[in-house]
Amino acid sequence: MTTSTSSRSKSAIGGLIFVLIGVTVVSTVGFVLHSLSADPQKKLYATVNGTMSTPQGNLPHAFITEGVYPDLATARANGSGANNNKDWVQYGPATHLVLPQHAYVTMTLHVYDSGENLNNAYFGKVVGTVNGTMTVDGQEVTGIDPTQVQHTFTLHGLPTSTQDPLFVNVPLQRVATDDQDNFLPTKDAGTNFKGHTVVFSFITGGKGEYVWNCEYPCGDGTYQKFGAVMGQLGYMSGKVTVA
Amino acid sequence: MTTVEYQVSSRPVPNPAKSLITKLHMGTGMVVGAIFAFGTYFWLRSGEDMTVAHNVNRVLLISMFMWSFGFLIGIGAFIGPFRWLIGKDLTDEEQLFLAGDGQGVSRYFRYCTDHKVVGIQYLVGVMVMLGAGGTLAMMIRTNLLSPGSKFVTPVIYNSLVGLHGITMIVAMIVVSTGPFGNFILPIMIGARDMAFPRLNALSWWVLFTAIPVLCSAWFLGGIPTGWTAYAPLSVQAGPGMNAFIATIIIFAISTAVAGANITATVVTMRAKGMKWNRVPIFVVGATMSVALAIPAFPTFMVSMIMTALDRTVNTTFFDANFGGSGWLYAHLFWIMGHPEVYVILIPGVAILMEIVPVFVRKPLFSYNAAILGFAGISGLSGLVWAHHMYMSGWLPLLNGPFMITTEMISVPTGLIFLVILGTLWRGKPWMKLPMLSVYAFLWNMLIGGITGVYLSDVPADNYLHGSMYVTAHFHYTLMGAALTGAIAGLAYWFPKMTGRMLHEKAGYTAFWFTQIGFQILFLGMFIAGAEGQPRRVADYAHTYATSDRISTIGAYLIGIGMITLLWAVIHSWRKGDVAPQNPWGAKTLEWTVPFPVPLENFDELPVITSDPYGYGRSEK
Repeated sequence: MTTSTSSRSKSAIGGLIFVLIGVTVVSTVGFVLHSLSADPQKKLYATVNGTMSTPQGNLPHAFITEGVYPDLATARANGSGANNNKDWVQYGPATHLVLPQHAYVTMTLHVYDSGENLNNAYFGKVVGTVNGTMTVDGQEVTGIDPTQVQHTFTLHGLPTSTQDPLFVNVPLQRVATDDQDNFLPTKDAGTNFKGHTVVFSFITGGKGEYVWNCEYPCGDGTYQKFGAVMGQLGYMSGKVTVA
Repeated sequence: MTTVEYQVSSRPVPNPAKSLITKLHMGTGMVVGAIFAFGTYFWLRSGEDMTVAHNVNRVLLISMFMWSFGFLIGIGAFIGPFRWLIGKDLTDEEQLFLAGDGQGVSRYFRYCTDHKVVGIQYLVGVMVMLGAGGTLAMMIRTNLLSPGSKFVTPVIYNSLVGLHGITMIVAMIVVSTGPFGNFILPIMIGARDMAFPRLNALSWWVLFTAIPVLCSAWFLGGIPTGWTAYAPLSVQAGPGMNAFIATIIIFAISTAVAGANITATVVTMRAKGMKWNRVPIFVVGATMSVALAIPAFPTFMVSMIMTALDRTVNTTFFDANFGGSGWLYAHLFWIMGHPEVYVILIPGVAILMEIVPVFVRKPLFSYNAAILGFAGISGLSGLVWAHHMYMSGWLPLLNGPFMITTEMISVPTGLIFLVILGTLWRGKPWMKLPMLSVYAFLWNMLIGGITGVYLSDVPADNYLHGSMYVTAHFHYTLMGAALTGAIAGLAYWFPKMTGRMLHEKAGYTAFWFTQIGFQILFLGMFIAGAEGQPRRVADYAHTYATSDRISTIGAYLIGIGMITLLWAVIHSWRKGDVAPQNPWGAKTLEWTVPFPVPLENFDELPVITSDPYGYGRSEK
């Protein structure tokens, strides 16, 4: 009887230890996956410089500058180049943008790529910016011809009860192919810069996590151009943190 | 401690010393497979522009198939056919060696033709797959523990869902017919082995080669499409998708080989006197399941081959801009996908129908109704696939016929239910672990079945499709019913397969943790789904926070239950009480043979003179 009781206790303890080991193994898988979920994207912080008078009152005025490059060489020539696929179009210098909350944000995009037709003409319109406009090389517009688009900057988020809605869409005027072939990009826009400069402003709400992406399918080489850069974060898509 | 003696052969252990087959095993298979895979990869990539997605897909897919082919060469799968082709067939001694005669544990790591070895290989393989799939489920539920959770990124979450889905589907397809269809079924029908023993070994090892291929998806960027792999999503997905495609093609070959083998065995090798109305119900269920899989799974394989061609050589099978159609994929997938539900369900239910008469000591109530039920389900299951496409935007006029056929399938399913209830009626059940599973099945299948009727209804499906309601429904049928049946089979046949009794208390603990956790996980999910929580989405609205938290707790309970069951299996296999030859007093043939089951099962082939469920009846 004693041996039997002892054997039963051993079994119970063995079982308990086994369950604990099992739980530990599963938890370890969880920790590994969680660590892989760390944000791989480089962050770009907006800089605040002064205030701007808006219907919501005086708001901090934040500035942020990005570029859109047709390949790694162009990106590097402009001081970007975080992504190493040499023929892939990419935003830079970072794809995780950090913006201040309740701020008037002015974003400047230097864009260097060619393009084709938008699948959905809606994304040829400027939406969600101050006055519904942007400037392309200094000229104010409310949209561009959907056949002249190289990419879009489209910012959006889940409509949840915990964060303010934020939707901005800005179509980017494509660079003529001839220009693209002949130009040698430099960081000095005053010399031989032949891209376009797009400037627009929008107002952020409270804290929140949003995503942005390009709505022009530009992932060459795979199905309907939705593969490659369109299928991976960090090239033509990224995050926006309003902090 | 009592030990079980595994070596009972009175013959000298065969040792064909100069034969290559004695030197080949799983290790050599892995080495040759790795050489084939990496050699192919580096050779092909040197001549390709690897910045182009089509080239990457082509190189990866060919490398994956070369792994599978190389492994099979390395383990010796083709030695027999090759020797036959050159006119030097294997000697008797080599055949015996191939059958694992006298080799002890090492035969489980070889290309062994003994059906009992293949059954154990499937059992261990299935447990590994269920463990991996279950771990992924824990990750999914942890991410859904609270809204806005950042446990994993949405991209990783999508891969978790896809890999969980395909791992579990593959595991569930073979969970009953793999271990029990191979180990138990031939003995049940009084056969010495399967009809094609070498094909039997091939089916397992081909499936084995799919496991590393599927695992490689993690290192290639994951599977972002869910297990349905709808085109064009799958066509434009990253390199991880190649692992999915290769896995399905390899798996389809394995199931076709296994299905043909089991069907041929049952049709041609039944013992004398085992007329069709004397065939044990598990044998009927397993045969109908694999026979259903034979025409169904090739369509999945074809859809994957077409996806592979779209991804590698720029064909446009699924590209509407060039005359292709995404619907074509959806049809091909679901022509496999819905019969596949019954491929999973039928053998699980058949196991429970095998168990009930034994534990209530009554004949199976209306054997003919059970056969009719299985036949009805099998027949109708080929005519219901498009209920998965009600909301796809196809011709609405076609929804009606598919709604009717789908609702009709509840009739033969109900018949199966009635057979089990009828057998239980006024019986005095012997409440052992296998019997508990029968009651769990009745409850789970009732809920899974009734909720399925709503989904088959076009207006209701219009509202419910794509929601957590669907997730809860199919988990009730596949896990609550089919997996419960398979676990009952494990508890029931464990003594015959291992010579030991399954640890009863641990088994009960596992059962209650799993079943209670299961109800906690999925019952509330019906309500969350009906209220609009979408499935396959990494985040959700705060409205569903409480429901999802409760569901996650339920998932953790299932996890503890399954780990406890794993301990019970391992502990009992090593140190469990030695089982008597027929611990349940059952009447089917597998309980007439000793443990370890002799190489050829029977000294003399049995002659059947009565039905297998004649409890309380005089023999006739």
